[in-house]
Amino acid sequence: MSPHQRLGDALARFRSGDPLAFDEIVDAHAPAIVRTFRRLGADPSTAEDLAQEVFVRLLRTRAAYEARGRLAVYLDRVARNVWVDHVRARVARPEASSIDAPAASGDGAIAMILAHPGAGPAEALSGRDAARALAALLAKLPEGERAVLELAVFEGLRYAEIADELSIPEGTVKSRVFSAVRRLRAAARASVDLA
Amino acid sequence: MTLHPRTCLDVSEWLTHSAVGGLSTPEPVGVAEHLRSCVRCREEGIATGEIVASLRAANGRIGLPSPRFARSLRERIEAEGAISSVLPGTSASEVNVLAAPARSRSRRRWVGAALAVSIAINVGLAFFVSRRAPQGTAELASVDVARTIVAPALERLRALQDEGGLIAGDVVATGWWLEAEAAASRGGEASTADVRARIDRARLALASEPSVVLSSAPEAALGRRLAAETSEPRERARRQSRGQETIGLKPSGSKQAARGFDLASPNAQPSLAARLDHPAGSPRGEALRAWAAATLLR
Repeated sequence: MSPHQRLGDALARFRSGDPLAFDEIVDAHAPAIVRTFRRLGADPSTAEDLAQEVFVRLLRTRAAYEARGRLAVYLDRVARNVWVDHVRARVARPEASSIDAPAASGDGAIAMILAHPGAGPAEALSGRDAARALAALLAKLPEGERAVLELAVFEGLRYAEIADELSIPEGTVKSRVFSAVRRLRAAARASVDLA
Repeated sequence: MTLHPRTCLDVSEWLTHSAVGGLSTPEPVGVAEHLRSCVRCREEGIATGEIVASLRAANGRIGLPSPRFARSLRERIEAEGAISSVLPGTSASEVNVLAAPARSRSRRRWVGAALAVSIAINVGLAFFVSRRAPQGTAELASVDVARTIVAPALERLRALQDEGGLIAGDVVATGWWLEAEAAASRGGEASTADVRARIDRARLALASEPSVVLSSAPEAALGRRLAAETSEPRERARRQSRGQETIGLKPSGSKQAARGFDLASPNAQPSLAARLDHPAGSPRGEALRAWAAATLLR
């Protein structure tokens, strides 16, 4: 049974009330969700709080959830809604400081990432720096491009799957990915020129 | 995307989707021919692949949730009564959806104990191996394993060398090659730790492979490894690399090393800037470009 099939099985069991299935889902998806929040700019503690909120919402809405597509994509969408709510609340309470300060300008961010393409843990960017740099870098992309790029690059989804999940033509997925990578390449060129 | 790409834009688009890995369709006819004759597209392919790999690597460095994440989640759900809201007529304590039953806890204890023993054994082995001389039996065993692991990569590297492309024994390229292999075999990305372990194994195997002429990068890396075991690391590395290709090898502390260009580092991975800095036509620059193009074309 593939990991995807296992998770599909866990989801079916979760919906029918199997208590252990929820644990399996949390174990499988929590890292990706926390990373999503970190890439959106949340600090580590806030990212975990918000990830918990995603699972609480999943639990509350499981009866309404239609297991049509990938749970990862559904959770990603929930996470972005949670993030929007969080940012709104933060705007209403400006004293809250749950968002990481930007790593640098966008050019600084890509320089930080590209300078450490495969180094080991000791020499590499710290997790915090990597998260901040990625947040600054991905913020350069329009939301539509960012969403498909993240699903393809970080979640490993095929274009056909992304198109199906987001209900957009596969050609749109391809053009968004191409455009997103071109933008990042342009940023990389600017970063190299500045170095 | 046409089935027979002729323009640089077509090829650039295909290289992007190939690097991202989202396409299910095979490589269109004509890409390889185009890349062989178009330096600009080869450069673009390298840059695109580098960006995607860097994004994945950076994402992989973001820390995992803390160990208490699941427990906090359980507490929060119980406190908020989320369970009773989805299962009417029951309370959180009655249903206890998130609490593992006793059988599972017991199983987890066993798994935890086994994991602890495994970690202890591995740490002990690593300590033992690290204290052995390079020709020790433990290390030789590692080399045997490494030879098996890197054999396909070596084969590919030699083939590329025959085509006039790659410097045999370039451990950096081997590492990347293994990374690509691992990613392809898993249908996803390889973890940084996994890739580093493979690079280390490759380095050991290459250092003991008599038929491979080592280039400067692994020589220097070998020298650094010897630094911990002998009193003449730099001199030895210098002697070993004398008369061989040294482009890209800069002394630590140089301006380029400060920019992440220090190929003498055991973690050597030339940055995008470093590769673009290689003069066109230089053996190493061409080799790196050829490797990247070949990898993208697989």
